[in-house]
Amino acid sequence: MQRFRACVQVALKKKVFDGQAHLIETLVQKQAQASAESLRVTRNYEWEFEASDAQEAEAQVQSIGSRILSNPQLEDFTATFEPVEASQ
Amino acid sequence: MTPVRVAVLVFPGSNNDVDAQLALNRLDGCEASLVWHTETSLQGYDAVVVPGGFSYGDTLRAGAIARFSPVVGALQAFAKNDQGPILGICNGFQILCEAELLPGALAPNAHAHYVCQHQHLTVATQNCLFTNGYQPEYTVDFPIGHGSGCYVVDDATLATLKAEDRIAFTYFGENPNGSVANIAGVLSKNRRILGLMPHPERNARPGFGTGDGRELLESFVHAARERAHG
Repeated sequence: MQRFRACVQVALKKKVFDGQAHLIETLVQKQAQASAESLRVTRNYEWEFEASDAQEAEAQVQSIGSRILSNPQLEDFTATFEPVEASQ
Repeated sequence: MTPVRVAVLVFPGSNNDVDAQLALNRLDGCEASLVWHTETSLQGYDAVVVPGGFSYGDTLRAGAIARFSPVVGALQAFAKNDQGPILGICNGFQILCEAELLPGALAPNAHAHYVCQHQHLTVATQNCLFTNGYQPEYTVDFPIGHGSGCYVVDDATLATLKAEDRIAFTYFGENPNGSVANIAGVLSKNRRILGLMPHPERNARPGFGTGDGRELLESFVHAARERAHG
């Protein structure tokens, strides 16, 4: 078995209005006097896990991302993973 | 008269479970019991209420963890076998959507504020066991209290909901959360599951508000009695 580190990022679908993101954009514009557009609020999940190879690792991360961490009717997610060195 | 047995599901973080139980137990011939989330069977019950609250602290998303609880597995079997009507209120609606017993999902309110207020609703259809006691186009007052009540559904499913007359309630006046088509409550395809964000159980006692919610709960219990005892 190999050890991997997964990272899954979940955000509302772009077609779903994100009121929280809109408020934060406004806050940045007013308080930092800076432009802020297309701001997205995301949730980040990171964890380590074991799989026999990279293919199984990807299948696991995709399954967890779509079945548990996100609701496909409401949210999109991106998933990445990388091997964890034995010395870490 | 054999009492109608209603299961009111309880998750860690439910907070309208006892309200629902009390409102139901005020009705003639209704015996509502609290059923803990670890239960694996709903045998012996004639109807189920999934109450409001913040199950599992809304971790991940509202209703997302409750979906995987043992009692929701039992609820899916209860629905599949059409053992009786199912009513999901507020967090219960969110759970029913997450469990795919109802279409769509509930997103954070579009204005990003928690809303807690009296809310007038239009009874959008009388063609279901939950609303057949109301007059056509009747307006009811069911309180709301939620941070994630913005109903989201894809265009094709919305068209289906409209074509099949499955929108049970719509918000009257200003839309309080950004829900598509002002939707406050929807029905399952077989019309025996209702999910809605507003709380009929919080206005089910004449003299304590208008009592508008009592009609819905009475119709729900009546349908359960018909199904169970003929």
